[in-house]
Amino acid sequence: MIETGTILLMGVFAALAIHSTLLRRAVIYLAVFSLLGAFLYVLYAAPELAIAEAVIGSGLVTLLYLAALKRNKVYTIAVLAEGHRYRMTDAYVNYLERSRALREIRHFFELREMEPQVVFSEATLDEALRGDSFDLVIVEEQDEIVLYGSRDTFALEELELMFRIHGTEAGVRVVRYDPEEEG
Amino acid sequence: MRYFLSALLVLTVFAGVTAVGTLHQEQLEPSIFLYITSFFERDTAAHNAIAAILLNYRMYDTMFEALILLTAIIGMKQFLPTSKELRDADE
Amino acid sequence: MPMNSSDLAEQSIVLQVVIGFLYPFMLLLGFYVILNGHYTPGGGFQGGSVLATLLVARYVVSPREDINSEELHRYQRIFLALILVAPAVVLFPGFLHSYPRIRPLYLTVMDLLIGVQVGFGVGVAVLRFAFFEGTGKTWRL
Repeated sequence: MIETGTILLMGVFAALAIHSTLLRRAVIYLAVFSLLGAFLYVLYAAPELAIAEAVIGSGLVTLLYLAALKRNKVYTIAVLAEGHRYRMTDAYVNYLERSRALREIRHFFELREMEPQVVFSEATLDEALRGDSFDLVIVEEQDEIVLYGSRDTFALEELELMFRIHGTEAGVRVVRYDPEEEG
Repeated sequence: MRYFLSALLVLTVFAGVTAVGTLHQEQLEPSIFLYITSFFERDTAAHNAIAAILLNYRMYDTMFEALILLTAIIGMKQFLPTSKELRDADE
Repeated sequence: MPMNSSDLAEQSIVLQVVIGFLYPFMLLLGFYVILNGHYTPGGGFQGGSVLATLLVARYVVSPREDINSEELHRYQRIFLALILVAPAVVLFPGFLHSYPRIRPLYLTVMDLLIGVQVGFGVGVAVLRFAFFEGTGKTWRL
């Protein structure tokens, strides 16, 4: 009875791990799966294997996955004040924070397991594009929002496609640049 | 086609191994099992039969298990570039 | 995207606190599992895995390159040599049969050797992958 329940629960957690959209959650589901496997070994009177399974499956492998998830995480977005006479006032920051385009961009990267980190900067466009410090540079011009990304920026095409499908109040234009040429 | 062939290969090997494992069941004499479970404490002073088996009766197994780990690490050191080498290659 | 280790260290307070609290207990558990291998379930491999988990947990909390994996690998090779030598000296010539008193000692020492060897070995293997990060440029998708 307990055996059957444990095996069924293992199946449930395996399916959850495969189907969950957030990788971090999938890792935790896998850890629970391994823990249930260890419990099953105890039921089958194999405590040595149970210890090994618990330690490796839900300890070592979970930590390894967490360490791997840390790799590709922070995505730095710079929002420039070019359209606002190069002044990043509090009111302007509030206005930008509430704008729909920025919210959509944030949501886009959250769905992809990355942590969007938005920097409001008074730098000029040339300064922002130079170097490697920003992954995406956003400038609001009169009637449209311009996204500058280098050619190897993550998922720029998908971002462009998303804006083309959803649409925003202002037009969105994506400009690709070559960091070597520009810098 | 290549994917299909490789999938076919994997499935064939799986089926073959399973068939060999199920059809060719060797009937082992229970003498080793009985000997170990009744005499391991007298022979090795371990209270845990698995420790007795790993460290006394089947010591070669444990030794080569340890060697496998060393081989794996040597292979990794040999074939993975270090982060320093990657940095040099980038520049 | 350029990331240095200080960026990583500032993340995930939950993980830092929990692992910091569990760290000594895990160390204790590891050595308990290793040293009691011949009385209770457990032994060299399981305890060594706990020690390797400790090394990885340490990396997850503070990912600095202060764990010298070369050094760990050297110790692992030394312990492996001891693992190969100890049975050849003690077990195979039959000393355990003639001197039954050293049997528990032999078991404990072998468990300890295997535990440290496995812990260092798996730790080196995992950390080798963890430090395999490049400069960020290489891994940008």
